[in-house]
Amino acid sequence: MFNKLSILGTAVLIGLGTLASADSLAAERSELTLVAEQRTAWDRNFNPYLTANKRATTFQFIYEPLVVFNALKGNQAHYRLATAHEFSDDLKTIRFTIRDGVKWSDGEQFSAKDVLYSFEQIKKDPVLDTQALADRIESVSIEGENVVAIKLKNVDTTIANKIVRVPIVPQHIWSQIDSPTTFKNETPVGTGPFTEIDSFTAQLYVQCANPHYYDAENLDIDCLKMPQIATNDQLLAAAIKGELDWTSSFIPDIDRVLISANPSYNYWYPAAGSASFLVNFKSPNPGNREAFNDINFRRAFSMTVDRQAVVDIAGYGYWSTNQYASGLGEQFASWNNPQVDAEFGQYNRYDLEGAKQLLSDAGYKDTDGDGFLNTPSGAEISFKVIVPNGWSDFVSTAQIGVEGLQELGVDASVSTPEFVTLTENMKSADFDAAFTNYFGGATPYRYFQTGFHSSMADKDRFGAHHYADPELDSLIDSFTKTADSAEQVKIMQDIQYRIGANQTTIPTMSTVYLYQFNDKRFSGWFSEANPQAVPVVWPDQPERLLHVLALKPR
Amino acid sequence: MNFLKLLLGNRKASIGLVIVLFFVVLSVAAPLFSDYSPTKRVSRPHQSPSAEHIMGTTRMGRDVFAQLAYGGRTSLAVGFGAGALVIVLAIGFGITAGYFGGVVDEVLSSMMNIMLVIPQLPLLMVLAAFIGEASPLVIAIIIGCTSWAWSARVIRAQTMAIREKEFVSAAQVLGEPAWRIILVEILPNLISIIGAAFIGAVIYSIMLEATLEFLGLGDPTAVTWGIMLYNMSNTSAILIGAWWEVIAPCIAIAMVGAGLALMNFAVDEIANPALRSHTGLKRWKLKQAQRKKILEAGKQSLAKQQQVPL
Amino acid sequence: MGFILRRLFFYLAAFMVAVVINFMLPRLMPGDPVTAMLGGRGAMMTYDQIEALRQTFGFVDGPLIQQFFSYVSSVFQGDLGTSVQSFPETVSTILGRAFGWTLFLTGAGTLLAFIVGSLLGILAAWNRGGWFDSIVSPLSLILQATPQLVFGLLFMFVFGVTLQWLPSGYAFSPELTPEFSWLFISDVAAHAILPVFTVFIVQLGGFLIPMRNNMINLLNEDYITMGKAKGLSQLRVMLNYGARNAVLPSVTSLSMALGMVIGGAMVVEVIFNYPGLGTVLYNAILARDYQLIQGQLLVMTLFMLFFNFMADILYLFLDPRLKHGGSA
Repeated sequence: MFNKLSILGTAVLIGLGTLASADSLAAERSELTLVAEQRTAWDRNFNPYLTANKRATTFQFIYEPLVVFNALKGNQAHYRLATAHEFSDDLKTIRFTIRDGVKWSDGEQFSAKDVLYSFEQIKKDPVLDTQALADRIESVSIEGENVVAIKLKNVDTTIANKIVRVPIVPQHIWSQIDSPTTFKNETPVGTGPFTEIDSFTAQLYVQCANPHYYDAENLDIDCLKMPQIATNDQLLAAAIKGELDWTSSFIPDIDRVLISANPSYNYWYPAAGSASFLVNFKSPNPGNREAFNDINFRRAFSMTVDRQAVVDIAGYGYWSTNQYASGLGEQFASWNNPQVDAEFGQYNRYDLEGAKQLLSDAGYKDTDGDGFLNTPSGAEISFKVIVPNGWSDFVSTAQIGVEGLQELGVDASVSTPEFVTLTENMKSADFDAAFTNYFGGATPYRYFQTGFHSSMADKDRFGAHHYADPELDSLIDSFTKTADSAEQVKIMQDIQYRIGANQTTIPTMSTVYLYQFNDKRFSGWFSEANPQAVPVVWPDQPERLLHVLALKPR
Repeated sequence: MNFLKLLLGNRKASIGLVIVLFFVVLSVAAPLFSDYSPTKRVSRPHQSPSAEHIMGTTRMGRDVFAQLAYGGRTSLAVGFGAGALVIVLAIGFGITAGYFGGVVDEVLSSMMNIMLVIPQLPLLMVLAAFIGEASPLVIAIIIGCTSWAWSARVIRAQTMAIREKEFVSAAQVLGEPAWRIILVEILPNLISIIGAAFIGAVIYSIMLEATLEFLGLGDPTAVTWGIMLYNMSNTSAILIGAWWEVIAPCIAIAMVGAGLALMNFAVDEIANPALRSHTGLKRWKLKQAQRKKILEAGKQSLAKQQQVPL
Repeated sequence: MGFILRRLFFYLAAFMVAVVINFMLPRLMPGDPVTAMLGGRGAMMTYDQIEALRQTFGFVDGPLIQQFFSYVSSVFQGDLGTSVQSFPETVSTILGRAFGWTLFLTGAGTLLAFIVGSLLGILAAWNRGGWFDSIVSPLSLILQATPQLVFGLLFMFVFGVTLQWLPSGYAFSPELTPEFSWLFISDVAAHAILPVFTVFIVQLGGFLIPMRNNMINLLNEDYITMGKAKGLSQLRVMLNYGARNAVLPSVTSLSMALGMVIGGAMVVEVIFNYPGLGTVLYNAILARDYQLIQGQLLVMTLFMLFFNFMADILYLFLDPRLKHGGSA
């Protein structure tokens, strides 16, 4: 009875609303134009489980997350569908308290059962398990009315970041779907702010506000408008005309190319994950292996990298130099261990003469007269730095690095295999040196774990220096076993020291989060002066939900 | 030698030859013309042309003129190398099929025809992507191996025609071995066709190499005209307004193509004198003019109605 | 009719060769598509997930010969598989969407080149040795020897970016919905000018030169001389006797050019970001989207075959000698 009444009420309200605004509908509706993905045509697909071809406005905008962790604010929790979360004392269970009074966009009541269902869903089929969580979760259950308890197989205090990326879907819809891996979900039902697909063509779609949004009082935008844009050049053309509000694409020389042409645009490029050269300690070539295992050679390598030139030329001045001996990077500056820089910083600054000195002191000279240095034992050093084909800014970076090595008298060159080949070679230690980027995140944990834990050496390209240090491994592991933040900082600082002292990596630069905004139609943008959260509009950035709620039409 | 003389005697051919030679000299003697290394940073990014860098610099601060000169080495080598490979394969397939005929011809002709109906650029792209980071040498080889069919067909047809000639039959009756007949009697008569096909193959190979490299299927650390265009597009030189990076390699490719095309045009004229000689038409035009005069003198009004200005 | 049957048999054989090449190539490619697809600048997946995805995408394991037969049978059922990068869209859907644009772009450019090229060829033949001929004929050859890449980039740079006279990307403005309206059609036309002109200009010589040479050869033939002797006007002779016969070979080469250019206009599409088959193939190769690459090559080959067949039939109608059982 109550339900019927409320539907009736809604209908009347909508009717009144239509009457009131019928004359000024189009003009009054505030539409935020954004480019959250670049493709050649839109395909009407809002299935949150598909990795490749769901529309980029599916996460957060249709499927509200439990919590948004703000990486820029030390992982501060912004509670959305959950109102609290906590670890049990043994750190093996994480409990989310589910918010009351939330409705799905079709008017059905949202409850902890939907959350439970969503976590059961990922166990059904590995394809649905986009966060690779199924193996780490022991069980999921509802405790009391509205607490969802997730029991973990192993202690991992960083797992909440992954758990909140699991899409929370309505059980009453998805339980009817036979094949969730091919379902296109053309008319989605969610709890997020923009659930109604107002119009959809291959070139443009408009996604409007959820009539039942629980946090409607903080939402001031009526609709999101997504024009299809395939290339950076097209995007730039549209931006110059002032057609876009929120983008995260690469624009070369932005001050000259965009800002001078359209001053209502602005940009903010906060530091993101770092990128470094790395050498393979298990190189198949004996001479190279001898050099790579010598700390003097690694230090000299690091001293020949002209980081400022990398940033200015390959990075258009958008990146920042990374001279942290552990490769920590600007974005994690708050975790920095100053002692590392005091002791080893000198090896991570551009200093060609110092590098030459270091190598000649260590016994490197051209013994076979081919014009290039040999190892102290007289073996030949000759290697290629590999970098994925098509990643042109990285190819330029590697070329600048190699120029420095050649100045030093080292026979080095750049090679650009296909990404898949490169990854395979790096995992199997079948290469000499490489240039790669690393994960960012709320804490440096993911960077260190994927980049330096010996168990990761053959899992992906990040840890491919193939250098094993059991003490470092246990330091990294200990980070996930504690929830005490002072202790976590201490662990991170010890990790930095161990990596810096060994010069395991050759830190080069920190990449940036690309973000441009148009100040003309909306206010409240995150910016350098208003650094609320990572401002990127791409779908893998949950903070964009906070951003969209902060915007106000002018 | 006769052929060469004819070529040099032709105005179009001489102009074409001069253009091509200009680029050959420029690239072979590149160090004489440019003090800069094509792979070193020698200035700030995107400097417009100046006395120091006559064609400006790239995003990486490399000298565009140096890249153009050194890049010509590779691009021309790929062009002529692939062209040579094409022509060798085409001669092999074409003459064998044309001379021996029968089943041999059936098989080889089917191969040619099938090669001709498989879309080449897409096939090359897939091949280049499959090989990955295709070096200029690899590109030359795959172009050579996929582009011979057209020339082979032309050579086959011509061989078949020559085979019927008396001097060939005479040689056969005398018991000359087939390879000798082919080398001594047939090949010399194919020279102009082979010359034209070779020049065409060179043009085609230079174009294809540039295209494949521009699409990102080449080795980005090589220095060639195609890679210059690839780097140009990757660093958005067009948007930044670095026109010199677009123009320089484009002009070089177009000029070499033009030079070779002029040579080919001349070869065509030499091989088919009807295209060149003006006698027939001139005589007719002359007669027409005479007739016109007579007509004009006589029935002026009528002639005017019939005459349509050309 | 024996001629047609023989040709049909040949096309079937060529098609089968294409199918085999198509089948083998992606399987020889290094790396696996799932890794390639999800291996962006920061993706990680577990082995289970990759395996599960492989199955979803229909990568059958088993002996090569078995894979081959299942491939052939699905090809003949018109099933070209599923795209990896646009999952769950089928390859046929994607190609279908792109196909029209390519046909429009290459068709318009090639037809234009045929018409203009033939007319200029006639004029050049008539003017043989004169100023018009000695400028236009070599010039058209030079244009033909310049890659589409060069023209595309130069047009893009001059008209699209510097002067901003014409749109420099895509087939129409994103805010428009495809419909039969003046606004939409004019927008499509504006977007097509630069790419169509690029296709046109490099093909011009391909029609001009043969037309000119055929005309010149024909002008020396007996019946032309007869026409002249009859005292017919220059234009009548040129058009009625010369051009009508000289154009025959050009018509068949037009048909073949259409087939050829479908694959050849790829670069133009990539430069102008035109949403046709070329752009699809380019993106598919970058993303290692096996099934899409396969489907694409197959469709392009089919096109070549179709237009070659059309050329054969045209030839049959235009050259009566073939009708009476002559051989090709």
